[in-house]
Amino acid sequence: MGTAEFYYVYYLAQDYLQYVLQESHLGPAQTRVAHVLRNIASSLQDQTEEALKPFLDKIDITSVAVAKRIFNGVMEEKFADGNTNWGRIMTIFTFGGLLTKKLQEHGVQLTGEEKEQISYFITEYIINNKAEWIDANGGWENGFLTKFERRSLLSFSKITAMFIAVFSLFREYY
Amino acid sequence: MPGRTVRKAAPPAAARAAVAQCALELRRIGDKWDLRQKILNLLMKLFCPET
Repeated sequence: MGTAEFYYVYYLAQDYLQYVLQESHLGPAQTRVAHVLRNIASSLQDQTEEALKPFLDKIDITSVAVAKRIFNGVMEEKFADGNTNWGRIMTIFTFGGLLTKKLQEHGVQLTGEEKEQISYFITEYIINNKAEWIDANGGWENGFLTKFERRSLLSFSKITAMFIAVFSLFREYY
Repeated sequence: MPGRTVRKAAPPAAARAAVAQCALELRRIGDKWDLRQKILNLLMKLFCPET
């Protein structure tokens, strides 16, 4: 995997962290992938925070180095069963976002340099461990976007409602 | 610092257990989201084949 691919993922991580931290200067996403990642992963962010809070509260995340150690430990354990899917790839970003917020909560000053270090270790993990899977599954443009972009056209709830309506109609007559 | 509660760092075993629990939760959330998206895409194909 080349340098261009590294910077592609690095941009995604950096953009997502800025989005999660709600930085005021943040403009629209520069790529379609970054845009979809912001939307989908941020809707997972609250759920992730709620589910992980009881466990993360037991760990003092007092520096970027500690955050990196926890991040790598959790990722290693998460993928230990040998399965990878785009949902799990998304949680790499949400967990990175969660650790960043935890650092802030612990009073760690997050300068540009710290945020770059966090984006860097997220990218490093993806490039070293998941790049092959991502390539084999269509890459960000043809794999990730194909799976997640269409959601914006018609929401899950609308489709479910439509499905229930058709099913009810079917039951009424048969 | 007087008057300030100092949190003790979790012992290594407790921290390891917390890491394992976080990993399990993330795996569950990721798998659930992936399945949800698969179902959604399937429904999209059925109901909106032109998209």
